[in-house]
Amino acid sequence: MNAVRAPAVVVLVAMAVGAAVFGTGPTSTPDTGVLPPLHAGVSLTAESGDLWFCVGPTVALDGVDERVVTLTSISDEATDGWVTVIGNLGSEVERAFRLEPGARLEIRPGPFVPRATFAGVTVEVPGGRVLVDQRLAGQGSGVGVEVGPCGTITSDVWQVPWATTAQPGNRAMLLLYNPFRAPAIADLRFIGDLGRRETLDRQGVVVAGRSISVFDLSERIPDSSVVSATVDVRVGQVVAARLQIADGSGPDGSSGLALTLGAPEVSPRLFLPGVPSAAGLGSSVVVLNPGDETTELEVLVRPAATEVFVEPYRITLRGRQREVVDLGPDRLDGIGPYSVEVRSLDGVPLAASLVTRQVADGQEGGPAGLSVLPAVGVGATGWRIRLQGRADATLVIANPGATTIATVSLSTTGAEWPAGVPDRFEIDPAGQIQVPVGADGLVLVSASVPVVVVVRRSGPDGRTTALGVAVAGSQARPAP
Amino acid sequence: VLVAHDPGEWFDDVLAGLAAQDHRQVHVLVVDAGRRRQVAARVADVLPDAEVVSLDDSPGFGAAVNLALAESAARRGDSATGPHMLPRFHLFLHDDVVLDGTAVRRMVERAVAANAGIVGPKVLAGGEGRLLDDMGSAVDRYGSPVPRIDAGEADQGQYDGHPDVFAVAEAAMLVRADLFAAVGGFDPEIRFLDGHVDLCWRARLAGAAVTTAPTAVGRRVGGGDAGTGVRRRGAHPAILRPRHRLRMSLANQTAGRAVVVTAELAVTTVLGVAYGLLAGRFRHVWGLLSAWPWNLRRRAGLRTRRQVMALHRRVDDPSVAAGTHRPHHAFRRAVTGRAPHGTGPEAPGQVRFHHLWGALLGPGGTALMVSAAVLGFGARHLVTRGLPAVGRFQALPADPLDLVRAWWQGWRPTGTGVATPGPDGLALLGVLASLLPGSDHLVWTAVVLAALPVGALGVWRLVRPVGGGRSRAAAVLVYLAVPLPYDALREGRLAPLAVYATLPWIAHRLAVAQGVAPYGHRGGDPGPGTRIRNLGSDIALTGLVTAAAIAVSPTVVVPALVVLAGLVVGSALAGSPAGLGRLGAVAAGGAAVAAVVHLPLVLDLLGGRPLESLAGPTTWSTGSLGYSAMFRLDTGAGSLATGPGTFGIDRIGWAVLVVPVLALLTTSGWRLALGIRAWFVTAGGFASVWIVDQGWSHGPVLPAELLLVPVALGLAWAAAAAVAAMGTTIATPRLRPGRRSVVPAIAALSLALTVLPVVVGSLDGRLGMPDADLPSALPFLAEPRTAVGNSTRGGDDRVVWVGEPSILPAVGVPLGDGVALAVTDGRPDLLDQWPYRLDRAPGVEEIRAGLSEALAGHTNRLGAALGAWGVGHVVLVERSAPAPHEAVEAPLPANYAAALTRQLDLVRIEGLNRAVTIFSNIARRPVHAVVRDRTGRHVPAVVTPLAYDRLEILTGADGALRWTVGPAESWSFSIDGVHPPIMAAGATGGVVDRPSVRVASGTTGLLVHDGRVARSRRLLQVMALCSVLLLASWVRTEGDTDEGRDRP
Repeated sequence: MNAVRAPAVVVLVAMAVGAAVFGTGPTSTPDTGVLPPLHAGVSLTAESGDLWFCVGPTVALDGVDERVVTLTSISDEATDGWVTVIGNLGSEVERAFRLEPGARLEIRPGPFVPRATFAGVTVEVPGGRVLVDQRLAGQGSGVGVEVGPCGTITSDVWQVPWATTAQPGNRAMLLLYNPFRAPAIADLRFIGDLGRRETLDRQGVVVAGRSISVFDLSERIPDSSVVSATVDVRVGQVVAARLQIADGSGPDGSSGLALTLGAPEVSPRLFLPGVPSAAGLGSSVVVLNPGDETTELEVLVRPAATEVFVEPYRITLRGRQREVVDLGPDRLDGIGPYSVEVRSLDGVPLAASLVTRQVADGQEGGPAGLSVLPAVGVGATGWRIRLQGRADATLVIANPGATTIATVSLSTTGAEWPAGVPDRFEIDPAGQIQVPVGADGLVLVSASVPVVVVVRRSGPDGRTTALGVAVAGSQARPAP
Repeated sequence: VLVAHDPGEWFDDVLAGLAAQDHRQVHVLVVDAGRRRQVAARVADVLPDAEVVSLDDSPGFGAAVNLALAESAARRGDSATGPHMLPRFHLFLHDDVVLDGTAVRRMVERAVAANAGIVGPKVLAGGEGRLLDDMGSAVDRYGSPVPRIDAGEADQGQYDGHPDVFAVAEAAMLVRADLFAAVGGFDPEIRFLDGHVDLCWRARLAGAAVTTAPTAVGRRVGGGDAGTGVRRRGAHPAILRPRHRLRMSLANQTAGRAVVVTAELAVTTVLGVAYGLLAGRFRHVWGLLSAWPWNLRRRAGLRTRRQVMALHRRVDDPSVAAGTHRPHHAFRRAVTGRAPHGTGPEAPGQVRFHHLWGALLGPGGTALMVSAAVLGFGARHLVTRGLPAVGRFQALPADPLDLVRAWWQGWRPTGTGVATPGPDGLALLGVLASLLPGSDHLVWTAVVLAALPVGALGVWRLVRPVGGGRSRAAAVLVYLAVPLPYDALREGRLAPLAVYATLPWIAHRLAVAQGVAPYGHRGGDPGPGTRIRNLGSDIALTGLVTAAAIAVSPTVVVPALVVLAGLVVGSALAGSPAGLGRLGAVAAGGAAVAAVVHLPLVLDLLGGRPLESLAGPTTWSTGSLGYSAMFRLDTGAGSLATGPGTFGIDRIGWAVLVVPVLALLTTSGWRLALGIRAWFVTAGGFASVWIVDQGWSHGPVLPAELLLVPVALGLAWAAAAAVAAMGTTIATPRLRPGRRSVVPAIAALSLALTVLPVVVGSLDGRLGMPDADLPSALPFLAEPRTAVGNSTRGGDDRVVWVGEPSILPAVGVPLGDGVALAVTDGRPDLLDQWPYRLDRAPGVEEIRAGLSEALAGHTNRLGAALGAWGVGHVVLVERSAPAPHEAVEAPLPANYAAALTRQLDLVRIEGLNRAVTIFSNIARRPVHAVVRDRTGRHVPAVVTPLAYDRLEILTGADGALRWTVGPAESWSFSIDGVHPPIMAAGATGGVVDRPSVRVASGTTGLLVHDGRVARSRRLLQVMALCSVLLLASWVRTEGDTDEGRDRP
């Protein structure tokens, strides 16, 4: 048999060379479709359910006058669900409810769990389309109020950048709520004025299933002007929140009440819209680097007036350290309303909070003011904000994207849109707008790109700042 | 007495031979038994004194002799008892035997000297007279004559020293006249073939000796219509021999012995008919069947001959038998009509054994044995401690026959109950495990590990015609040294191992089908071990081999097509397209045969069963394997799952390509053509892997190990061609003799490097497999399904397994992101290892939808959704074996554990191995339960399996009984044989989401799976298989020629 060698060899060599030349290497891990976490999101379709978690004290806690959890239906049909109230003394009550379209249901957790000083409330809504928020009022005049949505997220990592145990006059508590049946095990790390505070009794803290644990920071890390906390849950997931009560007798003279969820996510870019610029208020940004790497970061002040430029605050932050940046008037005087962006220059994930309080030399008789806004790294194109209470609200909408103009539409249900207030805006990149929206009703925000929505309330009973509720599924990271 | 039946031109030579006899008194009587009546004139020309008797018809040799002798005597008016005219001897002669001039005299002298009653000559074949034609025969227990000589045996005087025989040559026999008369002459009913045997037999019974005169020589001339050459219509030996055998046994043996032999012949008839039908030898069947009525019709003559013999019997049967060597294999001869020609060293069986022994002790056999020793050493802990339940290597069911039942009933409990059976090989495994003694685990271990030796043996057989032992050794070593089977073992993949074992056998059939040298006559001479068959036989065998491979793993079709394409392209590019048409015909025909054998599967596919359901989910992200790992056939390095390291050694892995490359560079002629074909098989395998690795394939993805099997096969094949060429100087004509010796050295070195990783890898005794498995880490989940006769409340809890598909302990369905989910009833076993149609598994569909909802954050009550299908636990699997043992690791995306943790009705179980994350479902509902009307509470029923497909249900409450066993339409419930009406889901009085029946507390009923359709299909498949086997046997029989024998 005569066989020819050349054609076959040529073809084989060509195949080998072609494979080497035209082949592509491993591709990056495809996007798994998992959306970034938001502290609160509401489903607008009946096929998707929501689970809301509200943590806080009951009126049995000294200094707390009122705590009300409000369920508001935004559905056009009746909604069924369950409410579970779990006290810190082990009691547990579960009730079913039905909400008619547009109806509200107020729940006061205290009576469900007598003698419990803290209570976690889990609201399960299989059909979604229910907003859950809570109102917490301090005891006596001038102690403040906290109004904001409950969370819809549990996580195995929480960051609480700011609390204070400065004495006298401050009480801070870390609340760990485990709404699930399996126990959770968490490691707690604190950073006080003296640096990192890690002891064995804070390692492997067991949070029993369906329970709420309270960690009194004032006792564990007393007299520290700033306490930062990291909750690292080894097993399971929890909801972490910090309750801060200041009676005005402290060194800075501030008074107020702040119940704020921790940050469930760290990010190299964080946004803090709606920094108030009113006289008598002082704001500071607390940046926490929970990792081990040292980072160079900037705190960027972005005034609403785009022609104004403010020199960024540059900080070098070592691992497991935090820094407080005082947004004092020396650099920001007269720039008007602004937002803040915290950006790590080397991609190290961070956590941050905006702390706003009444300064000691402020005007007498103003509203009690202690509000803490956790920074977020995520925006959303849909938001729902329920207005309640006895205070006028201002909606702050920030466009965290650096390149794209955001087109935002506003509407409301349950109340008339304020006369003379436009309902359609265009927001420049890194810009923000403020819209007065009255005291009651439901505001719907729809944006062309992810935006961050914050509600500022100021009334006779206090001043609060809180994030809105994102529409589930609409969240996304802003364009860099 | 010369009996002529229309003889040819050679008849004159026959007559001349008679005329030349030097015996004093020879009276020639010619019997013209033919139709043309031309004998008398020809006889008159040569033997004018000869007497010619013409018969009206052709009554057969014996009858013609009898009639002619009687007529001759009557014509001469002699008394049959007259002493003067009666000849002393008769010489009965066929019309195609030319006697030497001294033959008659020497036979007479021999008769006188030996006092023999019958004397026969030495009959040689043809004119030259070098080959023996007939030297008499022996008779076995059942009266079958067995020639003393083998076909084509040369005359070397080897039989001259042993003249005594049972029966002399048929063509010419000298019989003492009185003896002839005493025993009644020839049996007139035995027309052809065995008349001389009967006569000799009776002569021996009468006390006469039967012998051969070696110096009396006759030569067989002409067409040869006597002896075994008889081809007259209705006179085929296969038809006549059984008749004669029975008649001679009845006529010549004592009554008692005749009864025993007749009974035995009846048994041989039954077996022979079965054998003949299976082998396609219908003439043999007809001969066996017709022997009985034929003899019954002639019982009168039989009686007469027995009476005659009774008068002259002088010797008993045993003495007759003892007088000569009685051949062995009488039973086999009676059943099959054939028997081995010898029992000594020349016997074919002995010859084959010697060949096998020689091959085993040669380089190829030594390579096989050394490989077996290394692999046996390397797998010692697997054999002694059992195969760890990794991936698809889960344990057999508690009752291995469940595998057979699953195949027969077409139903498996996996995936909440599916009507998609596994491969047919599972049923065979079940039978095997049931029949073999010892542990089922040992059987399973042996079956899995058998993939290595079976594959190596297939390669050994594939390359046998290519060259000598060295080429076989090189091929076997290359095939066993590639990392892919060990990677498949480590990852618990069954399909690649099955293909590894079976593909060489398919490739061998395809190569033989093409018929190009060395696998056929095209382009050269066939190599050793080549068996040339006809087209039909090739098609049937190729189809059966393919069907057998598909029975183990249907995915073998893909690499088989790669091999076929490689052969076609390689042949074309080598410039030797010979045989491609035949290859195409055999491949198409073989595919058709395989399709017939797997008719149920084909019907399923035609009915819309997706191809994905044959392969199961596989994770293969783009570019994850890579160029280097692909060429080293090292899949352990590049899969999505990360393991403890590859079985191969990275840089050494390239050595596997060296020897095959030599096939392209140093060979010529048919070896070069073979090398090119082998390389294009390799290239086909590489191309298929590359296409998938680059993400260009849109469809079901097969594991990399499976797609690389053709590569390994092609490399081994090419290595054989390369090594075969090393012994020939013509292969490397351009190299100087001194440099030619470098090539073998390079080949030897690269082969040594190739096998080194396997030798090193064998040291741990587990071939890289882990020491422990997941079931050992999950004792509370490792409860097998409830055995027959045992009771449970509500049925077995189900488990949902979520993870990368290859490390799940059961075959899964895709969930997304390269993650799959599987549902099992308790501990997974082998019934859970084969994919099924998702569209026929509503339970799995609902469970998957529930999990997707939970992962998307749309629900926080996943437990309720899973619990509706009896799921008690959800297990996230991230390692193929528990930590800290070596295992394949495939971490799940973080959102999986997070999403399950967020479920309010799932409780994470702590303190277990980090290989798994387990969630207990507190919302689990029993699989079999009665739903109370008022409260809607599910009260578990007491369930007792009565059989694989039959459950006894004892209800504990009034309400609606519902069961979550699929498929819903194939289960029926009856109470005392009465089928209560089944209420549809949501019907008044029924259950919201499932069909149900109304029951009262304490009711006992039967829940029975209806597998009639599956059983019908299986029956059809068995019939199709039998038909194909029968056809293959028939085709093979018809095609058996001398050429078809093994070449030594």
